[in-house]
Amino acid sequence: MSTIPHDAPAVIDARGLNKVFRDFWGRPKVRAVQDLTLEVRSGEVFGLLGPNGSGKSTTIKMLLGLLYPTSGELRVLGGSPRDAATRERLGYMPEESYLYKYLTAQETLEFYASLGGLRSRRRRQRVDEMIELVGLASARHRRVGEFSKGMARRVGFAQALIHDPDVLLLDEPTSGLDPIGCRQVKDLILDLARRGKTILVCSHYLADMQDVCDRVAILLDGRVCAQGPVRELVRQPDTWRITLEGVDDALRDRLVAYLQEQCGRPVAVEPAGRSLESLFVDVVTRQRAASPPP
Amino acid sequence: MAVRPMPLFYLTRLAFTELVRQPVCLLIALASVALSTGLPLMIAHQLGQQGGLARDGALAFELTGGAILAAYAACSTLSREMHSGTILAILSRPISRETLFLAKFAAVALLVMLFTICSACAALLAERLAPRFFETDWYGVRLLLAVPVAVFVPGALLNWRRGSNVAAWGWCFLVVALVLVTAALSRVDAEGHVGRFGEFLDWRLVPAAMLVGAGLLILAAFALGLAAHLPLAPTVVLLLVLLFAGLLSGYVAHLASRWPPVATAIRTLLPDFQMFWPADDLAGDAALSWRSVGAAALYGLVYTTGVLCLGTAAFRNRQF
Repeated sequence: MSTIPHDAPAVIDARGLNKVFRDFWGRPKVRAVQDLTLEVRSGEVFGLLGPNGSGKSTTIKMLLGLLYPTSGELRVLGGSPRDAATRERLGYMPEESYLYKYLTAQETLEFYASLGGLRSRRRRQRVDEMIELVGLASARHRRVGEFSKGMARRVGFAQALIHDPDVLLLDEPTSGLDPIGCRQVKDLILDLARRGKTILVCSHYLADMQDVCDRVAILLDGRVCAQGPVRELVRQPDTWRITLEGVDDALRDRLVAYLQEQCGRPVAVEPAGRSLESLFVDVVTRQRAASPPP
Repeated sequence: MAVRPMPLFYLTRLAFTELVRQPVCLLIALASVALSTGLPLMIAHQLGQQGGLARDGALAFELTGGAILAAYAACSTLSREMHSGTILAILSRPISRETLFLAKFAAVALLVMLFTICSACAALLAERLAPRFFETDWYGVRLLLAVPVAVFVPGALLNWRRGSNVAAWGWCFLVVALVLVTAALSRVDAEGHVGRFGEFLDWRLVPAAMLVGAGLLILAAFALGLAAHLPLAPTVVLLLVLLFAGLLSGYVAHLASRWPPVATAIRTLLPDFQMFWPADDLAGDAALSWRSVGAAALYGLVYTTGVLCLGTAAFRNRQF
């Protein structure tokens, strides 16, 4: 995670945004987004969290100009998302991998690169780079209709990046990916953020979001319930976790006794371990290195 | 937002590529060609008017098959993409809705044109192959039977060797095979005697099939306008209703002639598909009047443009 200065310019600025879906007769049916106010600053990774139906995807669609707000003010890169000039600088990875199933991975990326206005040589170069980046070199000539969900997500990610956008809107980017794919996507998000891209991620995979986001907003029933830097939101006041290395059992017991005496309440002690994701990635990577697939 | 030429080209190419790669589109075309050329092999098709039933049948299959193809293609390229969400990734780019809509129409129109070429060949072959005096043209039938082999065998081989799409190659081979068979049969009679090029076919069917094709473009524009708001089944049904209403528009307007505003409204709003139905003009040996063909083409152009303008306007503010 990067540290974004508070005075960094706002790339996405939504104020009092509302979206009401109406029925056939024009009566309000669903209030998908209610009085949403958020600001995403240049170079930050911002997470929109919330359960299914909380208004995350609706918000992203409004940011892309695919849905029009019922009321409120919305600026993306200083302009309206309905302007072509604004959308030229946006990259979008939809929630599902909406791809043309009769096209190959290479054809798909070439098509999106063409729409992004890339000329032939640059287009070929970017397609090669993106295919390499998402690890689909061996499947570049296969129809995407034959791809697994994880592979299709990778193509979806590549198409969002193909024209090198300034702002990325990622809707559930790790959904359907195996742990290695998830790790790669998270590393990629962090890498893009380091290179100055602004990224808005929308997900309900909280652990993934915690790994990559600088700030988050939690949505529920279309309203923002909490918003702020991840570290501040998850921090429990007056509660600390201390990690010690090279400590034997006797020293540990003495330390625990000392801390309990000082604090006047029980101290939780548990052996430090790695995450299951980290273990899985290590095991699979080692195994693949030892016996590469044919 | 303006319609920009390069995105229009890329989107048209993509939509057309997707359409020709779908087996269903090829199957609709093959079924139409098979019915057009196969049914006249029944003896009854040459009794009465010389070749009249074979010609009418082939043109009728072109019209109905083309309408179904246009409806399927429009739904496949637009309503299914809207339903599945593929369109979201496109419209998140600097692409206007007008560009997308027109590109989809261009792709469907290209497919309908390919279908029209196949149908024109099928109409020529149908008229030629219909048995005269209870004698079957076995020479022509053998060549015709080679067409499905020429469509699927090379396609299957290419798929086996290079993983190429069978349906896309099937379209290429179908058009080439039909044109070649038609060209071959145009200078060889039923007994295998070689004559002048074009001697043994009724070439009046070419402008007739093109005329029907122009009518199909109107239907394609309607199909796309409907597909932007409806799924496949209602689109097909409404399009066929529109087709038959259009075929009857003159008659309906005549019935309503007591109320001139109603009759005028019917004539103005309903497409007059009788203008694109040349079967009556082909009865006997009369040639099709190029004047009437030109008038119908102009009418088709204006009507298609009008339908596209309405469709684009309705699509402009569509939310996804």
